[in-house]
Amino acid sequence: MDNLYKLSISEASKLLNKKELSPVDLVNSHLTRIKETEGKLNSFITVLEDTSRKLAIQAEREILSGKWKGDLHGIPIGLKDLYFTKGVTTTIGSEIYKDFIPEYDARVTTNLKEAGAIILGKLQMHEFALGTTSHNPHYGSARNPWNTECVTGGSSGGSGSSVSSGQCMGALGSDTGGSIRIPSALCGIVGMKPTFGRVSRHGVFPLSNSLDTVGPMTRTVEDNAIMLNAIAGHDKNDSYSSKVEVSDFKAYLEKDISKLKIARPSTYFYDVIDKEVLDLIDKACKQFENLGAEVETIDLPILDHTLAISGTILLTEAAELHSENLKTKAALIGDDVKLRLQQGALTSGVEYVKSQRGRTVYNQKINELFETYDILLAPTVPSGAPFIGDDSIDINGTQELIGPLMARLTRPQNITGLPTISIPIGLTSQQLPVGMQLTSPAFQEGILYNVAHQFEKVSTMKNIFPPNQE
Amino acid sequence: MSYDNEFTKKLPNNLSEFSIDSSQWEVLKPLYEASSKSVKMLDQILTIDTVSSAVFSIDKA
Repeated sequence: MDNLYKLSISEASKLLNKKELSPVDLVNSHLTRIKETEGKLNSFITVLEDTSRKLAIQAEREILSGKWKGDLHGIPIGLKDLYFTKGVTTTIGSEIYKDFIPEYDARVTTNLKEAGAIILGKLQMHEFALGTTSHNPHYGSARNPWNTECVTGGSSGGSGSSVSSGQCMGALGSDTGGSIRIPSALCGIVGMKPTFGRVSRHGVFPLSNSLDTVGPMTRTVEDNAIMLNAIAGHDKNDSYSSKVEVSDFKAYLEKDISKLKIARPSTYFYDVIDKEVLDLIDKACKQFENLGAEVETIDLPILDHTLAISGTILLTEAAELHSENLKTKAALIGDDVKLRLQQGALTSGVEYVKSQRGRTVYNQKINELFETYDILLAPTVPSGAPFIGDDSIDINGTQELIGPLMARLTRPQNITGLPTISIPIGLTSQQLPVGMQLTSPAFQEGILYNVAHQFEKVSTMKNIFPPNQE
Repeated sequence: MSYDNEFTKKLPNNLSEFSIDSSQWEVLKPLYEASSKSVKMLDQILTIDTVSSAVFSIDKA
C-alpha cells in the first residue's frame, strides 16, 4: 500500500484491527515522510526514530496475537514539546530547558501510551507557548506546509505542520489563548480545545494556570474524537481537573443536527477580518442552513472586554510561573517572549483581580446565550497565514499587527473555559486554509464533534493535503 | 475597544536583563498604560456584588 501517511486514524485503525495493515509499515511510512519533508517544515525538535520502530514491532506482535487495544493502537502521533516524556528531552521551545529530561510522563502521555499510540517525537512550538507564530529564536521557525514561507500559527505550530503534512496522524497541542485553534486553522486541520478541566494538565509545562487547556489536532473530526477519548478524564494530580463523566465522543458523530440553533455574534469577531475569511464564514453558515440548522446573528457587547481580561490574566499568570527565569535567566529568553513576561510582571494585584472579576461577568453573559442557542459560531483567525518574519499583514487595505491579530478571535473561549473546535472551511485565493470555530456549553464536546462532523461531510476540506506536499 | 499593548517598533537590544532601566521602561510604559486603561474600563461592567473568580472552576459555572 502506497502513501500510508495519507490515511486517517480511523481508516488506519480499521485496517490494523483486521490485520490488513502492519504498524511497522505505518510507522516506517511516517518516518520516511518526516525525512522527506522535515528540511522544509522544521516541525520537530526531537524525532524518536529508534524507539518508535521498536514500539511498532511490539504493537504488531500484540495485534497479531489478538490483543488489539483500540483505535489508537499502532497509530503514530506527535507531542508538542511541553508534554513531559520520561527520559526524553522536553525543551518547552526554550534555551533555558534545552537539556531538561523529565523523570515521569505527563498524564496524557501515559494515556496515549496505554492506548497503544506510538510517539514519533516532540514538536516545535513558540517559546514557552507564549506567542502565536511558532517563530522560535532557538529552534527556527515551524513552516506552514501550504506555503513554507508562511507561519504555521502558534503556539502549537509543529503540531499543526506535522499533522497537516502527514508527518504524523495526530498530535497534541495546548491552548491558553488559541494555541491549538490558530495553527489548526492556518494549517487546514481540526483542533479541539476541550472544556477547562476536561483533560489533565499534570506533566504539561504550564503557561497560565487558569487558562491552560490541552487537546488533540488531527486531519478529521472523527480522528479528533478518537484522540480525546483517550486523554479525557479526571486526574487527582491536576487540581483543576473535573470529575464530570466522560462519554464516548465518537458516539455523537452521526446525530441529526436539523433542529440545531446556532448563534453568530456580530460584535468583536468581525471588527478586523479579511474579506475572503468573511465570505467563507458566510458560506459555512449557509451550509449549516442547508443541513437544517438555524443560524442567527446576535449582538454580544461583553466581547469588547475580551482583550483586557484575557491579556491581563494570561500575562500575569505567565510572569508568575516564569518569575525565576525572568530574574536569573532573562538573557536566555527570546525578545518577544521576554517583553510579554515583563509586561505581565508589571501588572498590579488590583488589575489582576479586577480582570478576574470581569471574567465572572463575562462568563455569565456568554453562558446565558446557551439558554437559547446550542452553538456559538465564529471565524478562528481573521486572515490566512502571514509570512514568516513579517510584523504586519494587509487586511482589506490596512496593515494590522500580526501578534494581536492572530489570537484576537480565540481568546474569548479561554476566558470562559468552554469547549471549542476549529475546523477547516476553505482556502483563500492564495491557497491558504481558513478555519471556523464552534463553541458549546461546558463539557458538551460530543455536540461539537457531531456538528463539526456533519459539516465536514458536506465540505471539501476533509483529510486534505497541501498540493505542494503531495 | 483599544487594547494596544503590542510593541509596534523594532525591539531594542537591551532587553537582556529583568531590571528595567530607563530605555526599557520607554518600551514598556505605553504597553503598561494601555493595559491599565483597558482594565479600568472593566468598571463599566463590574458592581460591588461581582465576586472574583480568581480560583477558576468551570464545574461551578
